[in-house]
Amino acid sequence: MIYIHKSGSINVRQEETFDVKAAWKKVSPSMIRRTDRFIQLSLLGAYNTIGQEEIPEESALYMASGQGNLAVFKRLRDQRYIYKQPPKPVDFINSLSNTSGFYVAQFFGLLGKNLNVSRHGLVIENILMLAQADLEQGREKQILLGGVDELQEPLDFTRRTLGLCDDHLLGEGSNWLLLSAQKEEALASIEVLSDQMDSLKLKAYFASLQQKTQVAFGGRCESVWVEEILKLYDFELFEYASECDFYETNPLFALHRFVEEGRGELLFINTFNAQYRVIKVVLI
Amino acid sequence: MIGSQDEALKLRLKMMIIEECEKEDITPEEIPDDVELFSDASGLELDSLDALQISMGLQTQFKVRLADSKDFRRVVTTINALADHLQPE
Amino acid sequence: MQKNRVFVNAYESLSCAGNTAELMDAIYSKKSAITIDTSYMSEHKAGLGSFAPNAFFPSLISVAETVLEQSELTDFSETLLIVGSSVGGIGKSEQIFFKEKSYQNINPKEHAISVISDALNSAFGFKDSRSISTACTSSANAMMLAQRLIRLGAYKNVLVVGADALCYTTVCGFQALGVLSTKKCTPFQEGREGMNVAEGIAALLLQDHETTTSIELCGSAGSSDAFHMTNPDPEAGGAMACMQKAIEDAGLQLEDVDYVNAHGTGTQANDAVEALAVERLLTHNPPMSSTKAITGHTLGAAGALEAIISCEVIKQQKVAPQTSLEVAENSVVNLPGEAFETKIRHVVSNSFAFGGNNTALVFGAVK
Repeated sequence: MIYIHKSGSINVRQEETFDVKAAWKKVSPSMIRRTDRFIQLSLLGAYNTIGQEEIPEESALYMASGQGNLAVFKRLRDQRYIYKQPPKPVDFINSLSNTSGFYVAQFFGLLGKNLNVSRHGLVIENILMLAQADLEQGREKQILLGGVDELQEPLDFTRRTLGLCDDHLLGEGSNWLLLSAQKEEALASIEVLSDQMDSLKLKAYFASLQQKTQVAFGGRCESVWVEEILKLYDFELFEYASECDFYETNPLFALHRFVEEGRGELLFINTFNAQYRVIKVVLI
Repeated sequence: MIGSQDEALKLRLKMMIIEECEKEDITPEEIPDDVELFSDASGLELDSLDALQISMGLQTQFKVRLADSKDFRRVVTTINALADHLQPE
Repeated sequence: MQKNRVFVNAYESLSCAGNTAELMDAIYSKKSAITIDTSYMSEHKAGLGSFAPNAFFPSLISVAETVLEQSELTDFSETLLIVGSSVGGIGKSEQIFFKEKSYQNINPKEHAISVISDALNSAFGFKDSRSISTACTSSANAMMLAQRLIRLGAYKNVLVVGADALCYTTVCGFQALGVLSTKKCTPFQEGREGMNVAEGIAALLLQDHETTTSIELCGSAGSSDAFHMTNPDPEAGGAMACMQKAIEDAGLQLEDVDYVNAHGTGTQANDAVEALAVERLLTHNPPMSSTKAITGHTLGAAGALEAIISCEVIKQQKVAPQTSLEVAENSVVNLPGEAFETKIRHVVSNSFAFGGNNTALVFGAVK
């Protein structure tokens, strides 16, 4: 079993504007050079989780994203095709995906493993499984795990890319957990159920549950299906969607809110390509 | 006019350096004319990545192409020397 | 907890030196497959490693197909796919641009790293898939992740695919960083000029059981320098830490390492620090070489490609020589001028990336 020791968040709604630079200035007097919005979101989200506290330098850093730092690709593309100029060294380096991990590692002085996973669908479930494996095997003592996505304009294009319907609101965020296998002083236990399930198997799992449980659903779950599930089983909905628009890594926001304000136990259910995964969080 | 006498040119160079190296907390006046840019004395704390960015800035804004890092080290020393290189007379 | 052992049971690759068999011939006979090219940058010569242009995706499928044929599996329906790539679909969207002369029609979905896993998934129907992108350590990290998941028992079969296509963005990007060599790269050479960008595809099937041809993936570890975005820690702390941790993970002593397949890109910074790390950590001075002198730097594919080379070195019990070396900058480390046969129990394969992201893998003959 693994445990959440800290959680923190930046969550920006589609209609909100968030000046990440101004927010960072409150943390540190000078902006970290060569960072763009994606990296700044990464840093600030991690800071909201760890703050000024020192964490052991051997801690690992795992980052996940739905789309990665797409904005820098667009900049490189514009330099090449519109302005007919060679790529800027800093942009090229920032396009190499693990740069946000570098800045977070450097800021918090982390010398451990530094991973970056991107995936359409269930990316948080996947990286949590990996963290679970490494912590349970004793490969890592502590993992700082974050999910970062930046909102990309134009919105209808992004919706198409993500495979979402037209009325889906899109947000952005940077949400983080500090995880370890240690139960002492933990806020909650967290577990990704090892089975990936289809709808039938999932329902069989729901039917096997003994007690009334709180549930939350990922943004890719169809609302009709969610309503059906809520009618069929003795569930109580943990509401986070009214505070959060869609981005691939927003399950971490839901978990963060539950750790902050929830009680008891939560099943977070998410889907991609008709397959389901369940994250179970039990507050301590 | 030789570059080191051309205040407008030197201001443009300093603005370019501030922009390319993302040193927004520094004003052009704070960059000395006659101190090696890549030395501790300049107070700019520039590194190898800054050299590449400046090289790119020289290429796109001043149409000066520096072949390699040796060439860069020869040309980009102080603001005065750089300005003289761009505008020898 | 009982941990599963992890075995590499089938593999194939494609690089500018050809398939795996051709690649090993080139390595042992010291024939670099780098060519000097001006098609990406008309005003600059650059040494590049390229294979069949415009055939990247068909090649990707055919490499995976070969691995499937070599294995005892009939399909990949019970196999997890882990892709390691640094630029993913950039090449594909560049092609769209060059064909259609339009910026608008570039689909960001095809631009993402996931385009490689999508292509493989639609051809083979994997049980599940994920992509890792940590620049030049991408597929080494994919190997590490596969090892963890098999050890834990989460999957029995994992196909690791490292794949990066040559494209404008990486060639010109590295040029902008001033680290490209105009000639064939010369890793560890005094006064070396830089690296050669190259394309590559490498696929390895990792399983929880042994076959007659297995090589064991015994250990792996990663570390961060957290030092500088592009420059490695000059004291080599991060590089040493990841090698040491990987050897510990394998349950071995430092002296058990008989060959090091270096990251050895041919850049000033990387090779100096890597040689120092090996000099300080592996004081029994095992032979070391960088096969990038043959293949160029295949970026996100390099970790998987060099994992295959490491397996071959163990199977053939023959050390890979250092091609294109005349005078070594570091005179302490053991860079063999010619291939030779010797007892090779374990191989360390290094991968280092920008951002001070370091990964080491340890392979061994099955005991």
